[in-house]
Amino acid sequence: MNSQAFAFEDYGAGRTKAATDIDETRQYVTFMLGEQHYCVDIKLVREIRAGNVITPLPSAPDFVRGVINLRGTIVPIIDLRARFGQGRTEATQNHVVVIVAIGGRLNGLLVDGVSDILAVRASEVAPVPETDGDSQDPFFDGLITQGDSMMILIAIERLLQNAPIREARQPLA
Amino acid sequence: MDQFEQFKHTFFQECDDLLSAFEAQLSALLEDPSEPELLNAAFRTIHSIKGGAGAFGFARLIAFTHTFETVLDHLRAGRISVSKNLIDVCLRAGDTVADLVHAARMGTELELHYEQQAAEQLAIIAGIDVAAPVPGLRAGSKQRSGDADGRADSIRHQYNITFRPHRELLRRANEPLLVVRNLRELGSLTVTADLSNLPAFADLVPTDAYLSWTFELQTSAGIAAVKEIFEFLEGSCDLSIAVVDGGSGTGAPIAELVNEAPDPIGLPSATPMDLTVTSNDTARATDQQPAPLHAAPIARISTIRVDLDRVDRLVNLVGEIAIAQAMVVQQIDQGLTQSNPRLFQDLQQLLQHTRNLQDSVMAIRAQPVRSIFARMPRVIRDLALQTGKKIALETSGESTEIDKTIIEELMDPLVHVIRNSVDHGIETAEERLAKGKPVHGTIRMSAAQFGSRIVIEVSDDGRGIDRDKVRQAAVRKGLIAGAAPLTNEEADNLILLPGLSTADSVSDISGRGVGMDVVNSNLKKLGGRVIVRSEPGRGTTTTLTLPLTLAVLDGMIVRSGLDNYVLPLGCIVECLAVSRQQVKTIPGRGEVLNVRGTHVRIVHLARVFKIASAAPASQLLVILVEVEGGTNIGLVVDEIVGQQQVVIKSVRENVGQIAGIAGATILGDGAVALILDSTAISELAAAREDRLNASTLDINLRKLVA
Repeated sequence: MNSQAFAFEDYGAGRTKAATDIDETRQYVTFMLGEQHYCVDIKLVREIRAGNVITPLPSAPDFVRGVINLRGTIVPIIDLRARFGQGRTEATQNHVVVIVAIGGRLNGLLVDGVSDILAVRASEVAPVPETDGDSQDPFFDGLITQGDSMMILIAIERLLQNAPIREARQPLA
Repeated sequence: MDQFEQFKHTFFQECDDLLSAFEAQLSALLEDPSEPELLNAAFRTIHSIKGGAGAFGFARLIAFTHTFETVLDHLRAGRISVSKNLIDVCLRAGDTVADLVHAARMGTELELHYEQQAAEQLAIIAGIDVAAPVPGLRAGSKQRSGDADGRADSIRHQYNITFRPHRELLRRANEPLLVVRNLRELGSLTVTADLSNLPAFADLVPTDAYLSWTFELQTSAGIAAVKEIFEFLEGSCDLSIAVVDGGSGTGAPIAELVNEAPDPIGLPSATPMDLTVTSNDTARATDQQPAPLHAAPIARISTIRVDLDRVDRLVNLVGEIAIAQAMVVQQIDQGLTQSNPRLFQDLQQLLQHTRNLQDSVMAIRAQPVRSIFARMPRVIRDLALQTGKKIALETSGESTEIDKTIIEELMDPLVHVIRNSVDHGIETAEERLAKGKPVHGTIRMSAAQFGSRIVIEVSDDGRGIDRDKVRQAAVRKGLIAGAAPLTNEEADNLILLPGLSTADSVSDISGRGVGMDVVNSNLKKLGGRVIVRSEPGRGTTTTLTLPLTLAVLDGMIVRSGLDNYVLPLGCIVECLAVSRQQVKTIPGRGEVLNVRGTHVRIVHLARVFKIASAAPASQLLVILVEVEGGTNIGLVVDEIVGQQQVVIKSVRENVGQIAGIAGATILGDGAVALILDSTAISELAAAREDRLNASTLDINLRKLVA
């Protein structure tokens, strides 16, 4: 196995209460999907892995790429690009999987590459503006602007809640 | 450690559990005295401890819990009401029970009147006479005879008791010797054993009860106290208790009488130690002190309670070690072992240790189903009493091992299934006689391992499911369309549908609590399934099948498309290479293959999973696999890769239930391979064909099968 793993210090699973009233600095892991930057709360990220062998799952929705072996635990891999309706990611050795832990469940997010770890004050996270096209997008928590670039903060919990593989997998229900 | 010690140990553990909940129950009771369940729970706690103490002969514990139980019973009956003072006394009494349990466990004896004060307080509260002749209350004092002499002036009755155990009495974990002992505690006793039924030695079945006894008991105790001794034997014996009042035994020298009492010789299950106790005064004295023969050092097996999570982590890690080791071996095998024979040797040893380690870790979680089966006779007994039906229970396969978590989750569903059988299946004795059936209804429970699944069957010889009624109810509730064509099997399984409780459809006896749909959903949660089969007039069989989630599995690695899958070896009948022409198509029913005269349904794994197959055009690789219900299907795969022992990993935790997949494993190269569930695949394929055929069957029923 030629996978590399960069384990983050364990900040504990589960998300701490959003500190909106206190202007606290929080850290985010940022990554790319095509040209767009996205980020997730570092407290949810367990590790970032490259070079994974993904085993496909039969009759799974298209955004579920399959499962990987994370030191003995079977972890499903979500293709974020496909989840956002932008087509399937053609996985290469450069693609990485961001392992996130939500409520004791592990999920891997397949992304194009991790770029940075960012410390941002809570006041710098702007709400997602309502646009005409898509109504309220439940997948995003806010926008972070850094110089010229804009990062979209992903609401991982909602994203995974809204993608219950469990239901999508019931073939006849 | 012998089995008896084991039971004892279990009893003590149970006491710990019960008593720890007991305090909370009492405290809650003070807050909400109107909640009957709290009181019932508290009563059950004390009652269970008393029952266990009785079985092991912890006399002081029996006596004290009996007094305690009386108080709680008064409370239950509303004769006394909850007050702060009462709860305080009860809490203290609970502590006393804990102390007595502890003493019994350690094999020590508490000081003579240790529990007296608590007992008196209880008695005052309950308004009962603490000196009332409750069984064994006097047992704490040194000399039984002296004590009995002290009350020689009270009114004495003579009871003539005939006690004829049924053959199966011993098999129901009853012990006639305890009856003799308990009776003797009440007063003076003359025992006559009837050996006439004893067969020739060669014909003797050691687990059958052949002896019966006649007791002449002279005591000041009331008939209730006498009856209570036989309380747990009801239904397992013929019993008559005649009161001959004005008995002549008043003030008789009890000790002598006791000695004159003939030994109940040949008590079938009596251990040598028990026998000496009955005939020997000094031995009896030791009998008073719990378990002095098993001295303190072995009185307690040390066990710890460990979070299942931790065990799981261990299981995972060990699995990982096995995989990592396989990878190392693969690397080393490339020639290195030849140049270094020592390395080869050491490696073999490592492999051996790893396998042992794996087995040991697995054994932590596996438990024989005996632990739940053993609780069923009690359930049956209670149900028989409630319904007035006569029921016998037969069990087999108790030593089948299942994962502990599953065992815990299995108790409730099993009780429901049995309750269902008793309530709706088994007829009343009169009805059975009229139908020419044996008066005793029989419920059979069996457990067996079947490939990668455990199958537990509960069958009764009752009236079976009334399919028309069930069907009508289902139509009435809108669960199926009125015209839906149902096979008998489908009709039987309607009772598993939510909203169709068997209680309101099949019989007037209201089922308590939940229906079969809950059994079904509980089993599904465990990754199992429920199948009901019924023969009208002959009985119903409910089959619960469960996965062996954490077990190691011998599997065949097969490839379909680009991916490897694991097929449990247990379900594979044979592998065939056939030419494509041998597979025939039946329009609308899919493909079949003639295997030595039997037509086997062909299922293409690639088609079921909608993956691109890379199989050669001319030949098909067909693996004949067994599916539940005993039929075979021919599973078509692209390649057979090899055979290997794999560690089953649950996929449900992170991924959820996947149709057709029983679990996953990690192969030697670190890649995940999915473990196939042959039965589910067969159903998936059938559903796929049905969809192609635009089935008329109602969606609800389909959901059930999926």
